[in-house]
Amino acid sequence: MNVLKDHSACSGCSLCLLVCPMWRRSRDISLSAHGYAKALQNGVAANEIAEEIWSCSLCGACDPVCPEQIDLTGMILKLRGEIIELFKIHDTVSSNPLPSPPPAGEGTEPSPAGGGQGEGKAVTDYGNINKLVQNKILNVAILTQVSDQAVSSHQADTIILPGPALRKNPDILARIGTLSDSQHKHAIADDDGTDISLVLEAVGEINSERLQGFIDSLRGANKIIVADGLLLKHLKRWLPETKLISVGEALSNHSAVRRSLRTTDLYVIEPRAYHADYQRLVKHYDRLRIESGSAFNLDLQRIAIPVNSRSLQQRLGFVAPDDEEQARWVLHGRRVSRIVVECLEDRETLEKITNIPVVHLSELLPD
Amino acid sequence: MSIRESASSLHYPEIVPGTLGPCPVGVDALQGIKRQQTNPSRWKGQGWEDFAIEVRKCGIELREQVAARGTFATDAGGTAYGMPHGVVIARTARQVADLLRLAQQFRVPVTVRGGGLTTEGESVAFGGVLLDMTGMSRVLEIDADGLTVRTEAGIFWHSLAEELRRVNMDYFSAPLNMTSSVGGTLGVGGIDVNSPRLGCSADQALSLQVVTPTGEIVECSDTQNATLFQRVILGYGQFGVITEATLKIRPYTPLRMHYFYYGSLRTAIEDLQMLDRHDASDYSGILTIMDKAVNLLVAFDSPEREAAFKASWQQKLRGHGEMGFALRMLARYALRPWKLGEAWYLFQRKRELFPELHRPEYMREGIMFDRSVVFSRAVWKFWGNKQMVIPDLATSAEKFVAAVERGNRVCRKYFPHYTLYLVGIKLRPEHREHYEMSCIPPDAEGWAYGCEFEPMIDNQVYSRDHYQSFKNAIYDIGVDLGGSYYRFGGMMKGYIRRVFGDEVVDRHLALKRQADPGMILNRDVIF
Repeated sequence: MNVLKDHSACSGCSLCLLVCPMWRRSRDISLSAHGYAKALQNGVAANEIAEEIWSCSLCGACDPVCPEQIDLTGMILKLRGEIIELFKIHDTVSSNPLPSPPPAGEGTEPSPAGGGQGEGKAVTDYGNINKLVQNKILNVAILTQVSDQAVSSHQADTIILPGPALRKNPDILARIGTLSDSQHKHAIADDDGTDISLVLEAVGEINSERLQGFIDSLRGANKIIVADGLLLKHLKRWLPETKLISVGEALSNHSAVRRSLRTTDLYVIEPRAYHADYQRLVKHYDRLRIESGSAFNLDLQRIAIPVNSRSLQQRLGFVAPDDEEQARWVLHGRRVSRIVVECLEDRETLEKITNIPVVHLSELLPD
Repeated sequence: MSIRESASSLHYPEIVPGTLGPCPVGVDALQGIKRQQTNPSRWKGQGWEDFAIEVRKCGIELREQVAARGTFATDAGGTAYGMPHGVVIARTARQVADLLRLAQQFRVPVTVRGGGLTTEGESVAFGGVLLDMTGMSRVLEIDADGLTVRTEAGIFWHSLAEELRRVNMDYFSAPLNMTSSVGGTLGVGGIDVNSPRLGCSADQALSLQVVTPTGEIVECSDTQNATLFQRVILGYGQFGVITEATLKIRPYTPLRMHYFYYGSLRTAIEDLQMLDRHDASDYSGILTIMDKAVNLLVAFDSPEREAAFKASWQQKLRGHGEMGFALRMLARYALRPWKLGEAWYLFQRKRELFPELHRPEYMREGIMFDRSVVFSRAVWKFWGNKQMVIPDLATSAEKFVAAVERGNRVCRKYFPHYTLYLVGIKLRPEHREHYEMSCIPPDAEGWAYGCEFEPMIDNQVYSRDHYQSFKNAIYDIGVDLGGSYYRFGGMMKGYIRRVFGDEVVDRHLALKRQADPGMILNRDVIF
């Protein structure tokens, strides 16, 4: 078994830089795993690079390319935890007042004005970011929505955790619901752990009863289909015996979907789930690429180029997102007649910058 | 012999109780081995505050926090450490020009860094400003009809390849390391496995935008400001900062790969040179596991070239296929059971390395789709380390076998495991002026040949003296043979006069003083 290493093992090769959307946007090495590791190697404390560390979108692109096999996403989350602790210890009074959480009912969509923060400014009191996340969770109604198709998770062979974006699109959610074998029961989970995922990203403490309840609700399923790539990674640890796959993989395994892909399509992989299981999925998508002849949002290292690369603050609405340049890079130089996305948020961003039709992968399923 | 007798025979100096004795790794620590330069002294920071104020007045972001400076404390070599006083991320040529103008005025050293892949501390700032060129890494224009690209020079070759591939184009030649920068490479050479046919990467530059050490922005080429162009190309960053480059490009083609295995360095080199002389392949090079498994790599851009090779040249090669070579190795070690440890190492190395070179997403049916990705990932995975020393020798074709064999003996003496990487470089007679005082040996005609001697550190700890002695032993061969080196700057600059001679060095020094009166640009890299 490989022992994952920490920042001290970084040899400074910069391979992580090449795939980092934050570096691509800023051309600033300090906003990359390479930059974090080198700064830490040379005596810098985590709280001195807090803003840089919290800017990471956790797309996970750097993990599979690291030749030293450093768990870079794990390193970043660990550093976030250290920062929170340091801020708590020193009781830092931020010169930049904390924004108020957006009003209830806003869902997880970022506010165009960037919340209460000045444009482009990050939340700087990282000791309180957990509280912000908790407030945000309380303010969103994502946990109460129940799909018409939902059955008790305990009776299902396959459970689907769709996440808030898919829940807001019942038609697409219904299509994904047809994925399961008609002979087997399936359930669209009432509780898809969105709050847990947010707390994981903010490195907060997850209430053990809440977590246990969530995990117990999934026990007994043979297969779980998960929209949230970060949650998928953790669920693999919590439910090691269960088959866990992303929505993208589940859909792209469907023969009707595979047949519907064209050579003139651009297929956009959801990065978090892909990078979290890279060694297996790189082969899956390579086969799909050869079979379909479609273009993919893969770079030359076969890393998925994200359409959206939002920091936690941006996704929570505290800072305005700035996805367009990144999305334009995904499309740059490509001659395609249709874009097929695994992730609905990608569709929203792409539709803002192109007239090329954008469809969700589930829309390739027969009616 | 008792311990006391043994100690006295080593002539340890007497140490007065209560005092510190001489440094045990001081200048005479390795008796009989001449020490060369290590880290240069740190610039003391005279006038820094005034300089910083003026820089900021020009709208340049100057970062002085430890976090920003610490990121650049060392290079890929990891043996030279230095801290700049401040870091500037290059954004525009105008900004670089303002910075250099002020640096001249205040006599502040400026160290330029691209990918930071130097190994002798050339891109480490021992005080002054560290100018990070990766901030200027955008492709400006791709001319697919004219087969050229204009790009900012801080771009990584990999990022350039990413953009070119979107329009089904590729660069001509670049180092087998994706995170080398274009500007840094043009400043030192750049070797690819197609260099035996296309020359070094620096030879593909058609024109450059250069910021001179006094802060002028100048466009140069072989026909415009030719002297500056000649000095900047392969000039080790002494005569200007390359901010933009126009490079040749070509339509993208995947590679058709063939590997031949040898037990003899000499035979493999002779076959490599035969292929080069007859233009029998599009790509060629040698990569070894010590001197025991010598792998000649041959590759082609088209099925036609591959077929011609198979018809005319393959049978003339004396190397073996993978299976044939494995059987020979089995027989060899069956007769030498006391060398089973070596056999096990070779087996393990092959078992780890070969799958990486044949990953199905990059290679299918003998065709490799992204050579720089495959090789670069393998380089960092199997040769990368927090410390790397890669001394090299560059000679004419005629002297190359002798240079490699002698260098190989040095490797065996200093390290249990190592790798040699050998490749030819097609020379362009019209670029003779570019090659002066560079890695291209002055007596080379037609092709120069280079060999990198890379020890496997294998998580062992070696002293800087051990590394330095190893490098000296390799470089002494170059002096003896009248060759040159790829890495003669930084910590190895003590060899410059021995290799190039006083007349050439003094002429370049005079040019440098004229171009850079404050000697601020990349101080201590060469001058």
